[in-house]
Amino acid sequence: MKLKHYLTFATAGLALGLSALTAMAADTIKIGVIAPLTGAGAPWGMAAAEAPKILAADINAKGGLTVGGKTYKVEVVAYDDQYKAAEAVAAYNRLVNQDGVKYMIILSSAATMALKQNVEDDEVVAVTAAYTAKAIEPSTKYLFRMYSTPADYVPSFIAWMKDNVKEKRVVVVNPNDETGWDQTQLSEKLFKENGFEVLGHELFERAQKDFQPLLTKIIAMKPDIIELGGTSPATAGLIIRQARELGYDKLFSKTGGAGPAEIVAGAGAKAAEGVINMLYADPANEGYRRIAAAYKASVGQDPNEILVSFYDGANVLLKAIQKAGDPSDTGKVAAAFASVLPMPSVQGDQLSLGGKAISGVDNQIMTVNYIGVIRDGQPVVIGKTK
Amino acid sequence: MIEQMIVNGLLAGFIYIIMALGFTLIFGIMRIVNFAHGEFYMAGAVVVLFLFGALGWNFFLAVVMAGFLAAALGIVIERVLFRPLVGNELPGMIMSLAVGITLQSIALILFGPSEQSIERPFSGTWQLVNAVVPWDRTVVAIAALVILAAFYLFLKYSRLGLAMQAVAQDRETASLMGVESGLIYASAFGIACALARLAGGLMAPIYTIGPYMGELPMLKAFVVVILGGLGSVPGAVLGGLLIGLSESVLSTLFSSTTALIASFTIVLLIVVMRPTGLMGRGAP
Repeated sequence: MKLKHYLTFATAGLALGLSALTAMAADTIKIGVIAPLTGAGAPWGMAAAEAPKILAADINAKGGLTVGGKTYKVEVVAYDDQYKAAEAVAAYNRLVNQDGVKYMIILSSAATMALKQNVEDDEVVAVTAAYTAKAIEPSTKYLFRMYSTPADYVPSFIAWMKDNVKEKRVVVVNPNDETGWDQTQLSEKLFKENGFEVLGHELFERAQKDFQPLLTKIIAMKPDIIELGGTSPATAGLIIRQARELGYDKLFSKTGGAGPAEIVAGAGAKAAEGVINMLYADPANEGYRRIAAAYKASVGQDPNEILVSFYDGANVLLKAIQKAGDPSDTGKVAAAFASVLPMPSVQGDQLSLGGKAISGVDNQIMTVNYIGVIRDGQPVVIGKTK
Repeated sequence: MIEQMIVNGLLAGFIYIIMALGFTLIFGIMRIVNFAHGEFYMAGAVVVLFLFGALGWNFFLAVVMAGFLAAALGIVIERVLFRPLVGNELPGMIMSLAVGITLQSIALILFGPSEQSIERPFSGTWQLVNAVVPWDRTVVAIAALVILAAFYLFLKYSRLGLAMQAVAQDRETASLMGVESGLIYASAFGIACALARLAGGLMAPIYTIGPYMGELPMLKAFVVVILGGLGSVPGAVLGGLLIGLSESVLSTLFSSTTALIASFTIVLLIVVMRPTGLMGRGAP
């Protein structure tokens, strides 16, 4: 009898505990992150994981996110996909099935291409950093791109080069994957349209570190611009250094995947002098400096500037959840993107909704990028892309 | 361009040889395929990053210290983790994977995921016929040749080296002749770890340094020893040079992806047509 009494008591206690846990979980909005947290892409992946955490910490410090009159804590759950589609699928399943995530940030094109159908089928609202145009189709409803793609900003970048750079013989170098193929195709077309002579293109494996054979071939083509496109910044630094060692003394440009600090660290300030590269952030901007300082306090290293895009992307997502008024209705949240944009970015530029011209649907946050040049080891903003 | 391709190939080949020597030494003596070899390479680079990059030690002193520390760590790891598995290839392989993942994770926790760079102790280039040769790679190639020569002399003329060869050829007979196999295992593992760390330390200023930097060199070492013959030191030298040169030529004429495919195609052909490799011997 006594045992039965204890069992009843314990069961009631367990039920109470579970209902309290459920209530706690219900008061939390979880944002999942699928990104390469290790390997050469880690500076981008760490920015993808840390930006929403910085935003969540700001919101939680003010008491939480108010949605439909109720206050929610914002929690970020990040998993490493090692820049591999298979790992991304495993991370997605874990986020959706185990962690109960309905909102997500996905970094790579490979991961996005592998997950885009799951996102639509499961009605998960996802913000992707994928450059590939194929990520978003006219039928896409739940997947949004967080920034302007090369297809949006590279035309004005290369048009700027046409007006400001006297060199004209280009070789395009990119990683041998979805991102690299798209970037190669796009930049080759635009360079030709702007009167540059494209001598050829070269693709390399992301794990590669010895570029001497590849550069021997490139230098034999006698280019005066080597365009590094979507090459990761650390790898771009290695390529620049090895090319300088082989005697290449002409220009480097990089229309994608910013990261001037890592380029300088890899190449050395002398070798990196004059490299023209796309920047997501103006290093002198106050808003950017604030979140960069928060990143450094958390990770212990300076961030890749893509941090700013992930911060803005997460901010738009949370604003859409607020606007929808119900975090459990992801259909309403997806529809709310159209009403929260335009809104200001953390740097004070205007974010708007667009992308229809390329993808057939307005599921892309249109951002402003900067054109920078490396001088004395530091990026200096010298222009803006449209 | 041909001269440059040969120079590039030889420079890459020398570092593959140093990596492959340690890998093949452990297999030859302990019959263990050490998949943690790439992480010892990474650890060497990390030690140089710390001693040379952060504390400002002399570069060569930092590299030598990386080698000594590796030898000491290798002896401890061999005694505690690998000794019970000597001769058992599958458990030894699994243990080496576990050691590799552990070392990677420790580096990740201590240094973070970002790739780091250090100042190069040597910069500039020199001309060899029509090829441009960077000084930093020249130093690595010279160091690799010195290490290779020292390793050859050690195996050929020292008592310990001769004992190692005896154990590699026939452990039981060597034991009957008074060779203490425990000492040989510990020495072989320590030397192999030291070779990997010397390679990592030498390459640290040339490439970027990160927790996963050992994966590709490990893969290359594996390809080299399969080509040359598992357990064969001359095979590692031949394999290293062949892979270095073929990669250089194919990457220059076609693409790096073609070179990678070719490396593994060579391995497939060797495994099918000559399973012991070009200069390997069969299992005892």
